[in-house]
Amino acid sequence: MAETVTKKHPIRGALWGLLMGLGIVGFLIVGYPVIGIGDPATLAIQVAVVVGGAMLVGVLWALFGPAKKPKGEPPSTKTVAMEEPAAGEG
Amino acid sequence: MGRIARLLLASGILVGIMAGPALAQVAVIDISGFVPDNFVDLNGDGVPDLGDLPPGEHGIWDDTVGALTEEEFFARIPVITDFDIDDEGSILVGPCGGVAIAYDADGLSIDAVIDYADDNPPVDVYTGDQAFTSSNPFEVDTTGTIAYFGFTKEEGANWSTEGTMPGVVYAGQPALHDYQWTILVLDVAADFGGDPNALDENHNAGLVLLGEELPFPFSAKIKAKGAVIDLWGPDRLPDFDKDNIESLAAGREYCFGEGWVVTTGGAFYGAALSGLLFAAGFAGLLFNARPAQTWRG
Repeated sequence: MAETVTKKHPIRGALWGLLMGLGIVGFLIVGYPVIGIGDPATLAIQVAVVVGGAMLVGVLWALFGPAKKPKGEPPSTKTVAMEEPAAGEG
Repeated sequence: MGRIARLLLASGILVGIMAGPALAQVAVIDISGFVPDNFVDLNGDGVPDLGDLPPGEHGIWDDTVGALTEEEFFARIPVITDFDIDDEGSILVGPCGGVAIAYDADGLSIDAVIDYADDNPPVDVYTGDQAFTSSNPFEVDTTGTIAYFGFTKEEGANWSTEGTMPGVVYAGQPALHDYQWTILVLDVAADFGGDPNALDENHNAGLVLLGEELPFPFSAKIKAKGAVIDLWGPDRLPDFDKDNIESLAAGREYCFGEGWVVTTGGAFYGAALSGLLFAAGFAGLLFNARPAQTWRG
């Protein structure tokens, strides 16, 4: 029986998490203003916490999320079409 | 859940929706003496709404006789001194005070604050509590208008009677002279200016049409700070905060304020852009970052 291997993409997860985190933090600053634009250090910490949290979620999802099933049939069950040798060959 | 309970819940929600606006706060401080007679209270919140103004009108009370300003101010505004002060980053120190009313795009009042030029922070006209705090920021519609009146108080103050700018003839009354002012947001100057003030003006009034001044509407909660220093001269003020403003003024009279402002009127644009970013990130996580099985060999 053909075996499967699981490929994981933590860097992709972090990058998509970054995008998602920017969306969340943007909403909290200019959509529904919960995060105030005040002291730069405080603002940086708040943004880092939200974006970092979203990136962490992305990495965890990429590492431990439910794996997609393999595409296609297992290699051993693949039927390889053999061409008939042409008349006069071989 | 029983039928009666569901009925009660639905009724409660309906009452909340219908009665919400009616239960809105009504101003505890009457500032109607500060605006023209054609500014009437349309939305019933106790603060006069924006009326039609002929060109040149300030939209809020002003007096060309500056010496009467301070007395007139306190004659028109009842002073509240027993409000609760909770330190949430809102202060206004120095002998400067005034009134500001924020209107939405339809000219209806949405917030108003007042400061008595004392050591207490500004007061919310609607509640009588401390204004410009993190939990009670001054609400401003970026598509609307702000009407303001500001003054400098003479009693107990150390204003100069003249400046030192060459060629300027000063009138010789106590007021700001050769002053500079700056408003900082995130330690970046959002606006600044200065004037020799040869006429010794001790008050100013006007309208700020935010819909025309700002490039686009936006929603954000912003902490701003501002200062004005007497006899500073033509140079711009350097960076300042509540800890160094006194040493920066170096014996000259000054006013310093710091507080929270929340802007409305542009939430859609910020939410839409943020939503697009979030949706892109979420879709990427779902379809591009998920672990995937492949056949070995």
